[in-house]
Amino acid sequence: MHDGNKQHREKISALMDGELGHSERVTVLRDVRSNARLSELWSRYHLIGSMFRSELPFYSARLPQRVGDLIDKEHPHHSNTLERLSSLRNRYSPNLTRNLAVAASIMLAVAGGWYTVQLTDDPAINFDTSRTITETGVATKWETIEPGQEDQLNALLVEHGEFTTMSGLNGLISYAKFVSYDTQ
Amino acid sequence: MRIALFLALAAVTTLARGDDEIAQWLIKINQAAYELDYRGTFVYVHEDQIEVMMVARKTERGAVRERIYSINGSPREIIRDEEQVWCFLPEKKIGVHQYRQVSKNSFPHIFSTHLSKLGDSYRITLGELSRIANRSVRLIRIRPTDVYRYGYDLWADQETGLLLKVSLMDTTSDYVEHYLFTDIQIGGHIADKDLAPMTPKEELIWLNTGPRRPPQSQNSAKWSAHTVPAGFMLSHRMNRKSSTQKTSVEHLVYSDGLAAVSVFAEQLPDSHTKPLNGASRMGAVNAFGTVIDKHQITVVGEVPPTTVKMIAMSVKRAE
Repeated sequence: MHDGNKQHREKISALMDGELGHSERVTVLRDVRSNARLSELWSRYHLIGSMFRSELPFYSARLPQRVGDLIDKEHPHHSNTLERLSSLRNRYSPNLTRNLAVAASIMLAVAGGWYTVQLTDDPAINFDTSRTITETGVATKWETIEPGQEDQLNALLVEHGEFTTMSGLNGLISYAKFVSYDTQ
Repeated sequence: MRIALFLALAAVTTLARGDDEIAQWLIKINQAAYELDYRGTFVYVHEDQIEVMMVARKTERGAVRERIYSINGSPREIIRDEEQVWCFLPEKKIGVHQYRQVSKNSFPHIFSTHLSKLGDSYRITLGELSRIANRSVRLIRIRPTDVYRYGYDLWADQETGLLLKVSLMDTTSDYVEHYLFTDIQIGGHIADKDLAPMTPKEELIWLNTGPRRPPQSQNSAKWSAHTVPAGFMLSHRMNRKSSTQKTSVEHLVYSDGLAAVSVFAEQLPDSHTKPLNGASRMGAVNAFGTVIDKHQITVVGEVPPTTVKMIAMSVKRAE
């Protein structure tokens, strides 16, 4: 967030809050699509927003770590995480997220899950920002993976984990992996 | 549960032709994981890290409740029952809650239905008696008969069958992961406080993941793997919808009774993300991705890279 351009940040914020008209919306979304830094900022807003709209599936103990990291980036001046969360909750609470009624689907693969954010009904400005959701505070363990793919693989791994648990031998093992994710 | 036990007993009848004692041990291990109450401390060793955790499990009026929490590093704990999971991250003041996808009724099926065929895929031998967490344990060595799966060393409690140590080894017989109890109480009274979170729920901000997932559709199978290693069978197939119902992911699980491999097929999104094409690895877990008919096919499992690649390359649309 520190590295985000203030003007861009305001535009994205206005877009998130549903304050832009159609043409402005298209322009901003095109900017986001073509600019990796804006795309990251956009993704971050949506990740945090989704947390407070309860859209994001839980997949592992790693997920809250990611949320914390994102929040630390987003609101570095707040004194503690709870304060940051309260601030973000106010911003992204369902009553305030009318922005999300205006757009079509962006599929994000974050922390082990897919969720979809409604952005616009205009298919011309649909795009996927999942490539920009990358780990910053947790060591990457998947080898030979492009950015964005790691999140998808984490998602699949945890889905898969539910079934290895059923083998009977691995129930404990799956738990241990979840808990240890946070420190890897 | 009775059905599962019946299947297990039917299976052991077949396996018992080879080695009745081994089969009885495998049944005992399976039942112990499902039925016993316990609490204890264990270490999880992987790569160059050691994690120390405490775990408690209690069955009350047929309902299971489990708790696992870290006792080093930042506090983290998970509490789970048969339908829901709660994750506590007190340092972040965050909790995450979700409904589980897997029905409690499906728990023992993979193991029991494959038990009779384990002897085809693994060479299983009983090892020596030893002592772990001050209890007598029996070593069961499980070695693959081909290059498509990993090997295991299991140390099961002599009295109850509960696994007190598990080591996973790769195809070169190098150990890659260990789980080891350092102390354990099996049975007896498990106090409610052992299953209660350290941090009261009301002190956390909860990220809920919404209502439980809708029943999985079983009637829309579109994909299947045509080549899987001997012994692997399709054990689960389900479709998962995105929150807008606009995309779906088909998930197939193949298991040989010990190892499980998941095949995921999903329509490629109109995105900038490059599809996964080729292999990836995270510790003992391997993945292989390919693209077929504008669908991303991804195979994931705790099996060697050869296995996930072979399965992925054989995936086709169902006719």
